[in-house]
Parts: sequence; C-alpha cells; structure tokens
Amino acid sequence: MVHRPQRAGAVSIAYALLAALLLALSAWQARLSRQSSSAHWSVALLVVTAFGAAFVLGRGRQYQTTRFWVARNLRFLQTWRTQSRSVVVSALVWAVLIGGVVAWDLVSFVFQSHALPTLSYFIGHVTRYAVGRGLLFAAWLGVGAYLVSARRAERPQ
Amino acid sequence: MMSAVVPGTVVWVALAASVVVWLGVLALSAGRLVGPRRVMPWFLGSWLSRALILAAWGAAGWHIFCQRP
Repeated sequence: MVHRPQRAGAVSIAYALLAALLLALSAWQARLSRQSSSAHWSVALLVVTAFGAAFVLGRGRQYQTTRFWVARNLRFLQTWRTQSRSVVVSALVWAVLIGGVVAWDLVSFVFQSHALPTLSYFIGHVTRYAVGRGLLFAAWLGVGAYLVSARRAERPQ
Repeated sequence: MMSAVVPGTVVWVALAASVVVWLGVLALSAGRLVGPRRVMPWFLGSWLSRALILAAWGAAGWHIFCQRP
C-alpha cells in the first residue's frame, strides 16, 4: 500500500517530468519547418497520442454520457425562456463570438483573397520565427494536455 | 512603409476587440455570467464533445505547424 504523501510526491515528479518533456519537444519543434517530415510525423503522432491518452484516462471517468449531454443541451435550448437571463445572454454571446470567428475564417479561406486574410495568415507571422513557433507549439501542447485530462471524475474506490 | 489595411483585417480586429470587451465584462460580472471556466468544462462534459474539440485541436495543430508559414 502506498501512503498518500508518497503518492502525491510521485505525482508531482511525474508532472514535472512531463512538463520538461513538453518544453524539450517545443524547443526541438521550434527549429523545424512546416515542410519537414519530422514536423509532420511529430504533430501526427502527438494528435494520435492525445486521442489514446484521452481514451485511457477517460475510461469510466467521463462525467456524462453523450446521450445525456445532448439531451441536456437540447432541453436548455427548448426551455431557454425559463432560464436565468445571465445564462442565456452568456450562451448567446459565446455562440456569436465562437461562431463569428469560425464563420469569418471559413469565408476568408473559401474566397482566397488578399483582401480577406485567414486567421492562420496572422498566426503565420508568429510561426515564421523559431521563438514564435516554439512558444505557440508549447501553448498548443498545453491546450491539448488540458483537453485530454481536465474534467475527469474520480475513480470509484 | 505601412501596408494598407484590408477589409478582412478590419473584421478580425473587430472580432478581437469583441472578445476583449466580453472578457472584460466577464471579469466585472463577478461570476454572474458564464465565463471560460464554465465553458471549457461544458465542452469536456461528454465523450462526443471532448472528441470533437480534440479533433479541432489536432486539425489546428496540423494546419499551423505543418501547412502555414
């Protein structure tokens, strides 16, 4: 049996090692170009690893079933008049902002015009430099780690 | 030399300003409005939504680090 303080220490060390690994990966990635096969393989491998890790970490630890989640959101949409005003306003603003960014990026992508730059055009101004590419890659990895591990239920004892 | 600001850039600046204003409003609302700390858990609430947002994350990474300059 492992005592709780020992387990907490081991978890801290594991997180520190993982953070060091992600930083080293970002520093390596910073020197790659978008055309290099190393960049392609590493990004593809990381995406596959993220899905695998999400599956392994999430078995029996996902808060809601998909059916329940969909039904709950549909019920919210059907009963929006009875919801609190702050929640409805928040949902509306988030939907407009996220939808606006996605829609405008799609429009800009479809027309392929110099007058309509895409979001990735601006990001390209950052990633053309090694420092920018490395920092953005570290941020991308951090977001991925959050999406894989956050909001997990405790395993039943 | 300054380059001309194209119409698409104006829309992006407007969207970015809207996001900044909204985050400011959220900060001042003292938890009454739904902020990113409640939106992200909503996205991660089910397998389907988590898989979809992970797919978007992966596609964004591929596009940014393997396709764009």
